Amino acid sequence: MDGFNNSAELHRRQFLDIYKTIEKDVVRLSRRLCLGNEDKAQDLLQDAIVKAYVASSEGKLEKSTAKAWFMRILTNLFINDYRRHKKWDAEVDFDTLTSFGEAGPEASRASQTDVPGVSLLANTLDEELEYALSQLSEPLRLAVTLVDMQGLEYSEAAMILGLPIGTIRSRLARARMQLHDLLQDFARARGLSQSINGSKK
Amino acid sequence: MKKFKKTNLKPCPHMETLVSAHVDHQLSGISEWYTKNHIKGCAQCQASLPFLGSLKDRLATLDDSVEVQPLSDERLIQIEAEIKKQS
Repeated sequence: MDGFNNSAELHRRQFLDIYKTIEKDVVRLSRRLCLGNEDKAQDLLQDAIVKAYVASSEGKLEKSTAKAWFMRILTNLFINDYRRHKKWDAEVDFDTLTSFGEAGPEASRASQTDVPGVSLLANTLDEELEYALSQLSEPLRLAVTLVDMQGLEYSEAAMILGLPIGTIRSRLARARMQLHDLLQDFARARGLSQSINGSKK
Repeated sequence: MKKFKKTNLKPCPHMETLVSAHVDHQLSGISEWYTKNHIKGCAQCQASLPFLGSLKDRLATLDDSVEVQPLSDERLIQIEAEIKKQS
């Protein structure tokens, strides 16, 4: 009995050690999937941890692939249980997702702001970008979340979503083109309001 | 009064997927060769690269300013209880 307890305790510690290394990424992914709803994101994460722990006791957990593996559990849980069974009404919580009203990070506007593609992003507010993301259909937003925001490879995103790599590639392209159009609309609206207010441009 | 000039920063319609994947360094073989050659001779696709690169950079850092809250003690207790139940 002691042997059983010791091995269960060892497994629990190993699992927690690995989880700690990916915690930041999975917390962010959970919050993204739940559109900024912190409570729902924690519910989803809690369910995913239990599921992952149980699966890892069957020998499925490796440190090198833990991040993609855990994200797959989290994403599938979201797609199959949360969204499909309508456990919550999806409303975007922009306050949680971003610091309201802040412009882009310094790096994105540090140089080349005279290049149209760079200046468009440099002048885009986080709030606008979040809104644009929220306008994407869920399949497109998932591709962007996993690849652009979580930094996963196409192959990892394909594995997580159970799709061919080509589908990830085309969804990303479609998402980016739609974001382009939405951000252009924001820039135009901002330019017009600035003109009306008599400020710059 | 200056008017906002809408600029098309998208690649040629038939190249959208390839140029987008090119920005991610996710092409190889003939598709990489074809895309690079097309971009070399296409002003529109060249002009789309800074936008796509900036968009990618911006999205990668969008969550950086938001503090990550680890699970609360209450949640951890619930998780422990659930795990014990399932073990």
